[in-house]
Amino acid sequence: MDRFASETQSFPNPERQRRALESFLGLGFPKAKSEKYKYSPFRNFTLAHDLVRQAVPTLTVAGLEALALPEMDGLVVVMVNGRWVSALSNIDQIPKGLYLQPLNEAIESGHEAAIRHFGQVAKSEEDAFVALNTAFLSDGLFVHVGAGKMIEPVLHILNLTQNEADATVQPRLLVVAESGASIRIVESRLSLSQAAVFSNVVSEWYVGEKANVSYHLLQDSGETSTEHHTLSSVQEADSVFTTHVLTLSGHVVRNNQNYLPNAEFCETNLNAVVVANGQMHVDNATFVDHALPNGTSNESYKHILGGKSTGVFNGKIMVRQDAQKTNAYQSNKTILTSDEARIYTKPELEIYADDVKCSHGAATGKMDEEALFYLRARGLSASAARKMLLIAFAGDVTGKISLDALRKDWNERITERL
Amino acid sequence: MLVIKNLHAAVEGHEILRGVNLTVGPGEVHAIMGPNGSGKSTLASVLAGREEYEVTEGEVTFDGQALLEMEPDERACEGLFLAFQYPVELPGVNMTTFLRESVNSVRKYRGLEPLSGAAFLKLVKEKQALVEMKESLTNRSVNEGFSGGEKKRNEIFQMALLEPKLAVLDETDSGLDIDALRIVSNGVNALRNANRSFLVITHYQRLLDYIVPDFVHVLVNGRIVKSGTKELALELEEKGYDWIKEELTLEAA
Repeated sequence: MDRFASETQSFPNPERQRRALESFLGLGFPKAKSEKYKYSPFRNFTLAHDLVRQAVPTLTVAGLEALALPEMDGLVVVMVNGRWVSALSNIDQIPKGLYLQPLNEAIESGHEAAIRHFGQVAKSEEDAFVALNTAFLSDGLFVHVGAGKMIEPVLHILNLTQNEADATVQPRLLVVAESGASIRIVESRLSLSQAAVFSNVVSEWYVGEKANVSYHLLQDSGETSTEHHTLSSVQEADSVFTTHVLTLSGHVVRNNQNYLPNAEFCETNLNAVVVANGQMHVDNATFVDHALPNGTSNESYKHILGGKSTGVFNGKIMVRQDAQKTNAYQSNKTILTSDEARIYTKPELEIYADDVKCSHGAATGKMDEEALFYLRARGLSASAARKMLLIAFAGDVTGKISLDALRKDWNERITERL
Repeated sequence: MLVIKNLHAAVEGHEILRGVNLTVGPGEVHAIMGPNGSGKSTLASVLAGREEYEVTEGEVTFDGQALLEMEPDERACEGLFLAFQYPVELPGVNMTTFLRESVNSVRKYRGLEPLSGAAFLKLVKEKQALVEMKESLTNRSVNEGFSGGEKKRNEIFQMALLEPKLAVLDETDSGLDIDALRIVSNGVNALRNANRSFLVITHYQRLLDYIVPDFVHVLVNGRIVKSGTKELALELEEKGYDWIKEELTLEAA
């Protein structure tokens, strides 16, 4: 506690951060009997490492290019250990209506939208990880799209960790799309070092009336990384919010994704592919909270689990009493490619309205031997046949990505891991 | 081309093939007929290398090589083609991607360069015409939502693309209407030549009106019990399989 207290002294907003710290200390990490973290190593989690606030980026432009990421010809913001690195970022061609700034600066300088939404979508009072992130927030990224602005170039946020020693980082993102705004965001989370880094990520999304926001997240921070990722969104009427998450590596990855379509005629699409090998533990907890009528949500989560990996999927859909004419669909499918891989899956539908369409499906199985044989009988090697079927399995999700280069890149990345 | 000697095969411990002997020369079309459960499809599966079939005795040489030693994909690359009785639906696997991967895998094995996109599309167009296949099918997932007839045409289409030395047609006529049967047969006949052999497995004689075989064999209880020319098929059509079974019983007695 003393260690934390002294650290908060130098923060931009000691008062807010002190309150968040108090929340964190009050809530604490998930307890041994936590139902929400039933299968997760985050129960009884302790912070074993130093809290890193100073980024020491040694990455060069050439190094950045070597990462060979797609969608880098538009706007690029490079964050290292949660801090903006302007030398590597490229926002020269920033279109009118789009505003990008380090989040703490935006708040301190009094950006109205930043102040209005920060900490309102993901609340420190309710969640220990959000509180921890808020307490130690030192930089972060603020993305603001003005009313009626459709942002043509893709915004690529490159979120990197680089540490010599084991460390904890607290990346933060706030995206505000005002009414009628539209933006497509790609985030790649990669690690440049082998140190065991714990990333406690929080992103908040405000999707205004008639706005359209899509978000594509690649999680590939290496086998020594641990990531707790909270994504929380609020949608206004007639808006569309779409997320695609591809998880490829990480010692432990937990994604808490909370979607609140908070008005009528919202469309929410959440898609994910998990490819796990070795000892990976990937835990997705999604929550779609239909509060008002005429909403639609489509959820599709796919796991390809090999080695001794573990997948957890807990998909909660709430349809509140007022949310008549809700159309909610959830699908969770898993292929286990080894005998030692495990999946725990739990669809959780709570429906309090009577005129709704809700469906969910969960299926777990092994590779389809008959399909493999068919492909081999057409000359494909066992490995090529296997890859083709697994890519097709993931294709239900990747096929929904409208950014061609990204879709191609993700398919290649998936293929490499199979 | 294909020499099968004393082939015995079992599934889950049950012996199904009990000593099959058969020799197929280059360019020959052999029909294998037989009642249900006689082992016809097992024979096709064993030749193509389906894993759940265990060969307990005997040998098969294909173009001089030990076929049973090869993996299923090696057999395909060496020029053995199985037209499936039940073509498998592959949701999410695009037809064009699949066909291209298949054709190029076989080409690579044979030491040929992969086909360029343009050359591949030209080939596809040409072979599609052979089985009167709708072009739109190549934009779909493999066999997904295809009608029974479309699936069987798709098999023959793939055969045409891969240009095998030996094609095994496993009940390709089952479930077809007369138009589809004619189309499929025309496709097969167009591919007949002096070097390509066919093993046509069928329950009914009708297919052999269209694909006229050089030889007809009757498989009963895991053995070829009678061989002849196409007239044998007509006789079977007329009398059914019972008379052969009776003959066998008499012989045994």
